[in-house]
Amino acid sequence: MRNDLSTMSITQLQDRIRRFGVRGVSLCGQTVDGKPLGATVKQYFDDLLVSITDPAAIEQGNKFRASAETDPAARRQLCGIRVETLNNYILATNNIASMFFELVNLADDERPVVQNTTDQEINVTFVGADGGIKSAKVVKEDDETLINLRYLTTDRVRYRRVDIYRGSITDAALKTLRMAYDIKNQIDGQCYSLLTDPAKGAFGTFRFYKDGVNPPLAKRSQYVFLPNSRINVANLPTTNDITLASNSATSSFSYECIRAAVKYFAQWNGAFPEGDLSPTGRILIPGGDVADIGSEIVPSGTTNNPVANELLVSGFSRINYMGRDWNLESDNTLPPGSCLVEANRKPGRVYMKPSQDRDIVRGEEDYELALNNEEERWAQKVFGAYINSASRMNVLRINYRTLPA
Amino acid sequence: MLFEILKRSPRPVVSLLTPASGQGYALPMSGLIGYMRGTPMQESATAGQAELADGTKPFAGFMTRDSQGGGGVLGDMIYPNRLELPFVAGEDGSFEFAEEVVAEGANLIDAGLTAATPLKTAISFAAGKFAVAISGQDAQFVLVGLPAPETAGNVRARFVTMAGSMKP
Repeated sequence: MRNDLSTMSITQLQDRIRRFGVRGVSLCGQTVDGKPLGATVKQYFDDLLVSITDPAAIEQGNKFRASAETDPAARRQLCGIRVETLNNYILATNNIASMFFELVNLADDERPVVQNTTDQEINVTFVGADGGIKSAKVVKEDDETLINLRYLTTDRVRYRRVDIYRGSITDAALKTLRMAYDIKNQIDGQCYSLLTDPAKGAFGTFRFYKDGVNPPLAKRSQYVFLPNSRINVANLPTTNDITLASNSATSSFSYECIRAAVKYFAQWNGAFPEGDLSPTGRILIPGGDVADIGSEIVPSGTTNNPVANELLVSGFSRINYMGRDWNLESDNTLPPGSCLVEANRKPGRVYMKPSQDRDIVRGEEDYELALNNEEERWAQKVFGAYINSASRMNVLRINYRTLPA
Repeated sequence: MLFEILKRSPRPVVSLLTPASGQGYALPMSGLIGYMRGTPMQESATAGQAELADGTKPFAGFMTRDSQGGGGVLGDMIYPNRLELPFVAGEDGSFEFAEEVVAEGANLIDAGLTAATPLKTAISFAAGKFAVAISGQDAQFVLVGLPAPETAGNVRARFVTMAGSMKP
């Protein structure tokens, strides 16, 4: 009578395995790792034989079956099928907050307040031998702004804890959540909205003291900059939102953008008491445009200059041009047609209050949730951000394409 | 999602037998015939038996999972990541109330409720769908918003529980 595995006794199974092992000894050849095939197969069956009654092996098997309750990989192995799981969820890049905002953690009872101040130029003149010196008075025209904080909160996300057939499904439910990413992504989105806000953002024409625009601002400290009287303001940038002269409906990111950036930062040289404003070399470019710099150089004929050769050989992600390394970073959240240039100082501040961060998970210990077979979680962060008029020049936007109206 | 509870209700969840027959449409998740999560139900004339809410009886709640004939299928056991296997049609299901919900599509919104329906309209149910309340119906929700639908052509609407009663 033919026995199959489902009806064999343990003794019969052991006997069958022992016989397999004995028959395996006569095999010739080598295993893929070079061992004698006959002895290796015999050893395999001997080990299998031992594992049937070996307490350690039995425990290992039990552990594996237990892990298959919750571990999809173990479950697949146990079921003998291979399930390839493909996830079609794609992520937004989060570059704005880290590149253009300085993160400030507040104490529990702190509130951010910004004070804009300015220096006062003192007249220096020749006087007659017997005096005639004029007098000047120090006048402060500081401007203070209170920065509001807000709570940024996720939804209360709930999910079932247990399925009557599948057991605990908490892990599987949590795999669909990226709560920390979602908060970070929202913060980044808020920062971008603020950065590009026409009224409160960073980009646009600079107002400077005695710029001739009417009406003048109420206080001298409210201007983007107050130039020393010797500065010829024609040397300074008038805006940090540059539109290239060569733009067309089809023009794209090119070396001309880098030249414009170099010029912009060079125009500020020597102007700031805290040190020169300079580019870090990182340029944030819309993902659809970043590779277009490659179209400037044709890979045929002779390209006998180091910039062209480097681009052709090493690609666009890191190029050296005009004496600086430039990292061209692709961002899938920016609108096409313009790029953002990072400087060594940030235009904005982001305020957080870690002491009031909340990451709440409630489940079995909560009577109401336990009644409904649920677990829920939510997270909250304190968030505040601002861009100061006096630090607007710390970022540069270059528009390299004429967008349709 | 076509149905989402935006504000949960403190009211207790109700357990009733889900409708055993009359499973009317292909479920969005499985394609199998059944009622989708969020379908409004009421207790029928048979005690303990749910039926599609039609505004003639007290509202029992929104079904918390899909229900389908025979319940889960073999794939539900094998494929990783499957959550909340469906109720077996005709067997026990759970129904929860909500303070604020958003619903979309012909399976949840009656054809009489359109993008042109004025906000603040009293809302009841018809054949297990949100519908403009008519005379004699028990209206429990108010239309408060018509957000952009996820699928073009659908009506997506946001409802909040009506506190108190409307003057007839």
